[in-house]
Amino acid sequence: MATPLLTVEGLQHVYMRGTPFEHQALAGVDLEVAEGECVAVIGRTGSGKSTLIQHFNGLLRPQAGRVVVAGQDLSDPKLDVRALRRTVGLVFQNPEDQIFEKLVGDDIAYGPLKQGLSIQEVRRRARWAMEMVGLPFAEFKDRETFALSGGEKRKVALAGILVLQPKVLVLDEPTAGLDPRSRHDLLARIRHLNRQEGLTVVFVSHNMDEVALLADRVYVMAEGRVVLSGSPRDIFADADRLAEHRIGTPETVEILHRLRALGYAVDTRAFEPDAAAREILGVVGAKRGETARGGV
Amino acid sequence: MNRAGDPLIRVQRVSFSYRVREGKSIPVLHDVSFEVRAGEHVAVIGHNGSGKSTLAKHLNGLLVPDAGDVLVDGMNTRDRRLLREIRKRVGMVFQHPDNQMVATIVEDDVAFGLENLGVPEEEMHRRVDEALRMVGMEAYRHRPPHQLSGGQKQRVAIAGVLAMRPRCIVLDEATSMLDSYGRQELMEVIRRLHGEGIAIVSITHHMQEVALADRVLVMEAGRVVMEGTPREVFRQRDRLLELQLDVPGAARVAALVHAARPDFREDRILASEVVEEVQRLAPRRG
Repeated sequence: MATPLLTVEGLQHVYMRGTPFEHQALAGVDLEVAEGECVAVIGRTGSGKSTLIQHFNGLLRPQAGRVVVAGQDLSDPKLDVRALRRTVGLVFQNPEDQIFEKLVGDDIAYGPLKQGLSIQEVRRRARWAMEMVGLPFAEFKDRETFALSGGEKRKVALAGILVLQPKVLVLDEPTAGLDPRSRHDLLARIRHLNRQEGLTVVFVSHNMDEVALLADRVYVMAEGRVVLSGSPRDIFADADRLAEHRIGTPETVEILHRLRALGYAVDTRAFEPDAAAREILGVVGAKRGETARGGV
Repeated sequence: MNRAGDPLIRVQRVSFSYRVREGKSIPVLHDVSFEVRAGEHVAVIGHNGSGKSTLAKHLNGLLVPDAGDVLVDGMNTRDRRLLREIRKRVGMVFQHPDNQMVATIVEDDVAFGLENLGVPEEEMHRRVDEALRMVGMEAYRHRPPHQLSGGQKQRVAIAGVLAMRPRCIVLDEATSMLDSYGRQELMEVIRRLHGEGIAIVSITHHMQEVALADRVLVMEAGRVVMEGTPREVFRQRDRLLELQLDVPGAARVAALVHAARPDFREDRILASEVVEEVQRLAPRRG
């Protein structure tokens, strides 16, 4: 891997230390993200995912261990947090709850105007950010935010981060609550930002179809640690470990795991529907009457 | 009040608009009619903005139609004096678990609705016990809700509804913020309640959940545009894609295999059904 853009070493975090509610959310996390990569962090509720990513733009500072983003060390007491937040854009869960301006364009322009950029520059960036998320500038800039659909609101919130032109985009459950079409659309936009615009992307998800589609690499968290990492293909192939950490798989992978458990020779890494169908055809044969090879 | 065989909820030619300010309104529902029979599990799907949640809020009188009627067990939701009786029969669970917790301890949260009704203490304890048992949360009764996972919170929210002994539970995207295991836990609870004869109306984006329903309504621009069993509806993938929806992964795989091997049944919609179809066509020897 090239020099990592983001490095996490031995990171620990304890909430409400010294109280009866003390809870260790992170118990020594190691993770690396290279420039231009798309990395997924998965794990069940309470595994520490959200706590981890809140360190990436300085909302939380390391209690123990290290986090370094593009040369900026989060343990450095003299850290320039505003510079860090220009490097890392964090999109929260349900970011549309934080839209507060009446018009779409005003909401997106709020951040860069606060940074003191010129009107022309803000306008140029807002146009780019809106095109990136699929909200045509002329059509949407004067639309009222309350009248947008859920998917459109989510895009406005994402554009409000992109307009700050971060190097790293961090997303917490980017598509939770969206309908299938809005989800596919948003995922395609994120993929474009990563592959074509070269933005480094880190996202937390509980949707394994989304992880399969987007991620180059996956980190699986449980009880505040990374317990598994690798490509989506390799992660999904490991049925036992996934079950142990209570991680679901795409339905396609579930079918293949069940067939494999019954003794059929299928590759459980085939998570795309056509790949899964090819595996099944390998077992039942492509045409009626063709000899089926059922055994391993 | 309800004669045997009558539908539990009757939605008759309902139209509804949100009034945003004077002289301006956004029409959401247009002439929607359907019924929910006692004990039935109905799924409602449609993309964001198609009117599903607005429709759900009509089922227990949270919203009242501009035109048309909603009858619950024969009671019209327009009659505000009947709302208490209507809401005893139809309970709602919403998307965000955190917005539904009102008490600092699980069992108080479940008892909240009963206290408001003035149910005697002994009866209240009995109902809270029963409700927590049905959702598998007895062990958590003395816990503060914020220590629970999303799926556990939703089960507590359902218990709060169950304590009212409803005949129907409306789940408005209740699983959409849950991880896959949380969703499976909740689906298990829903299956159990359905088995107990409670009607379920579930508004969802998860096609795997839809596959478990008796009947599916598909909404688009405030109208019901498709209706049928999940198997019938999922057979029309092209139409669903047009409506910005999709079929479950299992149905997709079955259709792809069928295209190359026509005797592999394409109307399989559950993972278990696809596995059985493979076993039928390629039995394992020994």
